[in-house]
Amino acid sequence: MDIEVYYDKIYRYIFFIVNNKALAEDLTQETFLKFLKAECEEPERFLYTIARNLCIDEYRRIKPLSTDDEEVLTQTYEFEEETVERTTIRDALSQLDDDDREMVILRFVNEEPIGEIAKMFNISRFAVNRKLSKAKSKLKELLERGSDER
Amino acid sequence: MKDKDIKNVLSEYAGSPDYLKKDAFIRKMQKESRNADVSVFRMIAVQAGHIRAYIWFVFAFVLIRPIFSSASALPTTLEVFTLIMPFFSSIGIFEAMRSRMHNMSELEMTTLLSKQGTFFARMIIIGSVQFAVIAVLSVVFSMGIGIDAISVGTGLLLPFTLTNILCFMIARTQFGRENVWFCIPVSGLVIAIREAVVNSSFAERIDCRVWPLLALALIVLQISEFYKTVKTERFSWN
Repeated sequence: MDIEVYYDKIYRYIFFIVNNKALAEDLTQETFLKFLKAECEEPERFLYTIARNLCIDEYRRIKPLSTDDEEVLTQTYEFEEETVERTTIRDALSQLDDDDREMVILRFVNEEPIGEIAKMFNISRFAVNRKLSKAKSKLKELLERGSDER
Repeated sequence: MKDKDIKNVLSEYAGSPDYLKKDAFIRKMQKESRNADVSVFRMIAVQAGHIRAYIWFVFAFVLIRPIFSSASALPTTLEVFTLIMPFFSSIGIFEAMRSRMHNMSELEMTTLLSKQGTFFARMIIIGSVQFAVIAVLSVVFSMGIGIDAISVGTGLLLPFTLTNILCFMIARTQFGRENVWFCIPVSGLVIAIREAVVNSSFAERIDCRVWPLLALALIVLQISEFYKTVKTERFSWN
């Protein structure tokens, strides 16, 4: 498997979940370390599964500190200075369902084929298309509303 | 807002991972996986699978043929076998250098197994089988004809090792690198040398104990030539 090909994809996938560059980089590397210890036939799907599980572990690890996730993230990680535009994107993404957000990232950022996304979520291609279309419309609306408010 | 705009906005938002961190990590991973995965045993096992079937067929034929010879035909078979020993030897060199023949050297350089390792593994496999075949043949002919096994073994080993040594020497030259077919004329040359020595009065004057010692010396020289040839296959990036 060519690590270079998947590295950026996994990094972006994790970044959209944890919202922190340094943490995303650490978790990306941890994903590959875990991946190389195991052998599998479909590396891409397996990598996303490991990455998602690591994000969940990370979320569980920091959760007991506070009940408010936003507060925890602010306290735990040093956020880079965010522009208003970045805040708008983050807010828009946070208003999507977890699955919808993940699908949008996989399809529009990592350009994964619909068939692959369908396998990852264990749903039909038709269902993926329908969910993506719905999520895209919602995201568009949220982003446009955000830019209008600015 | 178009789909393309959403993609651009999200991609810009995620950005790219730190290039230096990424590069250092990938290099470290590749180094670790290379060290962990490619043991000598694995290298030999992998290469054994890549040796073509006809090579094994030739080895099997050489090994089995004398067993089915009648006792009266065995001396003739032995004579034929000492003559085919140079070809038996060069077939191994030929197989080990197959990548050169098909201009695949560049491809092999980029794989996890280094070109040096590939050549080493193939020669170890083929060489071991060849020596084992010669050992068995020595015993079979010795039992069938009634000559001692060392004399038979020496008769088979001398043309075999001489061909190997000459092939290794030529393989290291530019000419040898570009023309793998040189093994065939080398085999012919060794047969001619053998015939000249056997038919001359010179061979009769030499003490018969010298030949096994000469065979032993040639084996040592063969190992040394093998080591030198393997070394030339080393590339700094492997």
